[in-house]
Amino acid sequence: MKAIGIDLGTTNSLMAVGGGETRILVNRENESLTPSVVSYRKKRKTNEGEIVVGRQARSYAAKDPVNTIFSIKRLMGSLYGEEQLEDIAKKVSYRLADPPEDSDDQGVKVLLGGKPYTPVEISALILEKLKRDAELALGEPVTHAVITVPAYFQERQREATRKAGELAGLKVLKIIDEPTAAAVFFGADKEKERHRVLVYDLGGGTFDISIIQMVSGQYQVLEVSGNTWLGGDDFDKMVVQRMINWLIDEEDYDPSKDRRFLGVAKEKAEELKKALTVQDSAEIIAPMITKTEDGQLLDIEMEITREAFEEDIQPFVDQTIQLTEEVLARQNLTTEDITRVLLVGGSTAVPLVQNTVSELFGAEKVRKHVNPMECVALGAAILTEYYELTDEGATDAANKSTLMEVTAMHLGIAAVKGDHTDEFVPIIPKNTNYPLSEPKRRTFELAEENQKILRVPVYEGLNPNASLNTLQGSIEFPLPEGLQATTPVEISFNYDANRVLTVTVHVVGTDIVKKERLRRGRVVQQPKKQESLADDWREELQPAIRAMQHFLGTYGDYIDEENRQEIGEALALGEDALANENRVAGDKAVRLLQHKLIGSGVASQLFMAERVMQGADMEATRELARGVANLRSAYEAGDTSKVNSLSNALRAQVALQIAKSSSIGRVEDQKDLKGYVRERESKG
Amino acid sequence: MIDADLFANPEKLLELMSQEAASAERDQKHYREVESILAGFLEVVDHLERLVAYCRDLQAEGVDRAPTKNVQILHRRALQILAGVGVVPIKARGELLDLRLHEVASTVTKPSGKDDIVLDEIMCGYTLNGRLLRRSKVVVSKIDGGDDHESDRH
Repeated sequence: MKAIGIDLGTTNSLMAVGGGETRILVNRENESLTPSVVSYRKKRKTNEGEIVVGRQARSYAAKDPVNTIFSIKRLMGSLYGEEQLEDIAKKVSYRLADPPEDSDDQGVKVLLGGKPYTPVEISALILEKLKRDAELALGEPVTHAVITVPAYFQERQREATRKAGELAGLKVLKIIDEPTAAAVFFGADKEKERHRVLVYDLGGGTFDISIIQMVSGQYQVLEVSGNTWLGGDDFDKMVVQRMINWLIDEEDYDPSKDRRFLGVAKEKAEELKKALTVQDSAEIIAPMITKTEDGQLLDIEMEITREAFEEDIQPFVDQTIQLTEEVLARQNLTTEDITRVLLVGGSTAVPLVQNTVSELFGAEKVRKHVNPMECVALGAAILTEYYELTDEGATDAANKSTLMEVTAMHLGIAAVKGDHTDEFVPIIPKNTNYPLSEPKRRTFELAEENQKILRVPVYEGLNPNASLNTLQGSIEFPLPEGLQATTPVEISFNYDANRVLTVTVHVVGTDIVKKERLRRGRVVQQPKKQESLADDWREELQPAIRAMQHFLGTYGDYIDEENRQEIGEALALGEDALANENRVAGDKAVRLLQHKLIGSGVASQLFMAERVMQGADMEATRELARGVANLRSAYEAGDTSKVNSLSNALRAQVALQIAKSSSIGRVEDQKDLKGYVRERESKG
Repeated sequence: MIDADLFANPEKLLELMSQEAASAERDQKHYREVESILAGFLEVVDHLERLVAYCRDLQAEGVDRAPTKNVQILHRRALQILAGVGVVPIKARGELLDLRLHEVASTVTKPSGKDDIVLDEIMCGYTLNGRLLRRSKVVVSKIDGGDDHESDRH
C-alpha cells in the first residue's frame, strides 16, 4: 500500500510521494506535469474507440477538438441551468450532453466519443493515469491519495473530486485546499514554530489568497478568497500587445489575426517574463514570426525593460494587493499580524509581485524559496504521512499535524420565516473553523399544527433564498399525530475534518431523533535507516570479483559499452590489487565493482531483481518476474523511454524487497515507531 | 558463488542503491540542462527550415539571387552537428499518427483514404540518443465520416 499527493489542476496535474523523501513523481512520459486532458480516438485497425489521457490527449486535441476534454475541473459539481455553465460552454470546444428531461440528477455531462460522461468520470480517467504512472515510478501499487482542490471549491465540488478519486481506484484520504497544502509543505520542517501564514497564490489564470494559522504543526485556515480570472496570462497578454504594437510601428503591419503569430508571441512573452526576473531588460528576438499578405517574412527584434513590463502589469498586481487587504480587513488583521507570507504559483517569480508583497508585509516575512509550482503536490504528499493506511481506507494515525480549515460558505437549512417559505437559515456560518469541537445547534419549531411530515433540506451557500444555494441533501420523516405548531425542533450540525456533515434533528419532547451523514472520509508513516560496514579487504574483494564475473556472464547482453569498459577497468584494478597485495587499490576496486554491479543500467536492474526474487514471497516474486520480463522485452524492442521507466520501477520494487529482508535487523527503529503511537494515545 | 556478495548485507546494498539513485538524479538534472540547451538550438534550426522554404518561394517567383543553397547547407550542417551528439529527426511524413512522437497541429479532411496519416510536418520532432526530445507537430488526414461517433453527437 502506498499513498501519493495529487495536485489535480485545471490545466496540468502533478503527483508527489512523501514518506521521508518527499518528491515529485514523473509520469511515464518522463514529465512532471501531466496535462489534465482526456481525448477519444478511434483505432484505425479495429475501429474501436480508445480513451487517451494526458500529454497524448493534448497532442490529439487539434485532430478532434470536439472529443478532447480540457479544464474539466471547471465543471466539477456543476448542474444544468447554472449561470456559469453557459460561460464555460462557450469557451470549450467539446460539447455538453443535453440535460435529462425526467431525472432528478441534473449533474452536467460532457460528450466524449458520442457518449455522456460526468466530470467525475473524466477526472477519474486523469487520476487513474496518475495512479498508474505513480505505480510505474514507485514500483508498487498506489492505493491511497490526498487530492488538492481550489480553496473556493464548494462542498459539492469537493465531494465530486473525492468520488473521482474513488472511481480511479484510490482511497481518498483527504480533499485539501491547495493553499493549505502549500502551507503544509512550508511548515513541514517548522513544526515547533507558531505562524500566521498568508498564502499568496498567483498562477497562470487564477489568484487565490488564504490566511492560515499554524501552531505546533497544526493548521487552521482562517479565510479564503481570490479571483478566478486573474493571473500570469494577463502579464503575457501585455507583452504580446507590445509585440503587436512594435510590428505596427516598425513594419506597418498588424499581426493580431495571425494565429501562428499569437502562439509564438505567447511563448516569447513567457521567455521574456523569465528573463526579466533576473535582468533589467531583455530582448525579444523572433525571426520570421509572421508573414504579410504579400508574402514578406517579418522579424521582431525589440527590447523590453523591466520598468516598462512592470508598468504594464502594475494594475494586475494592484488588484491582488487590494484583494489581500480586503481579506486582512475581514479578519480584523493588519499586515503586522502576518508572520509569514508564502508565495505560490509560477507568476510569483515576477520581481514586481515579490517586491510589492514584500513592501506590504516586510521582506523578511516573504518566503520565496519554496518551489512555487510544485509545493501544492508536495504538501499533499506530506499529508499522506499523517495517516496509517489500511485496506479499508486509513486511520488517523498521528494527530502529529492536524488541519483545521474554514467553511467557505454557510451551511444551513431551508425554513419558513413569516410568509417566506424559502428562508435560508445558516447553522454553521461561513468562515467557521472545522472540525467542530462540538455540534452547532439551533432550535426551530414545527410550522403548522398537526404537521404530518418533517422535511429538513440542507443547503450550502450565501443566498438568503435557500433554493438558490446548493442542496446537500434532505432529511424527511413522518411525524406522529397531534403535535402542536410550536413544538420545538432542535437541529444540530456537526462537521468533521473529512467534511462529513452530520445532521441531527430532534423533535423536542418526543423520542424522535433522526441522524444522517451527508458526506464522509480518512490515513502513514514509516521511518527508515541504514548503516554500512567495512571489513578485511580481501574478504570483500574476492567475492566482489566473482560476483562481477558472474554478472558479466549472465547479463552481458544488457550492458552498454561505457559500463562494460569501466567494469573491465575495475576488474583489472581488483586483480592487480590481489596480485600486489595493495590494500588501497583493493578497497577502491571493491567500491567500483559494487557500484558497477548495481549501477550498470538495465543489466543491474535485472541482476538485482532476479537475485532478490530468491528470498521473496510468492506475490512479490510474481511481481518481480513480471517486471523483469517487461524490462527484457522493452530492451529487446529498443523502446528507450519504456526501458527507462520500467527500469526505475523495477529498481523501486527491488529496493522495497531488500528493505523488507533487512527489517529483522531494525528492532530499534520499530521501538521508535511504538513511541510515536503511544504519544497519540495519550492525546486521545 | 555470490553468496558472500552484497546481498548478504541488505543494509549496505540499500545504502549503495541510494547512492546510485542520487547519481541517477544528477544525471537526470544534467539531461534536463542538455535538453534545454538543445531546445534553444532546435528553434534556430526551425527558422533555418522556414528560411529554406522562403528562399524556394522566392526562386519560384523568379528571384535569381535568393541564397537557397547557402541556407540549405547551413541547415544541413546544423543537422549534422546535432546528429553528432545523438539528436536525430523523427520521421513523420507518410507515417501513421503516433501520439508518443507526434502532436497534431491541424487536419486535412479527405473524402476517402486512410485516417490519421501524417500528411505534412509543421515542426520537425527529434530524439536524443533514442529518447524523445521534442514531438513533431504534424498535419494529419481526417476522413470525412470516418469518425462514427460524430454522427451520434447532438
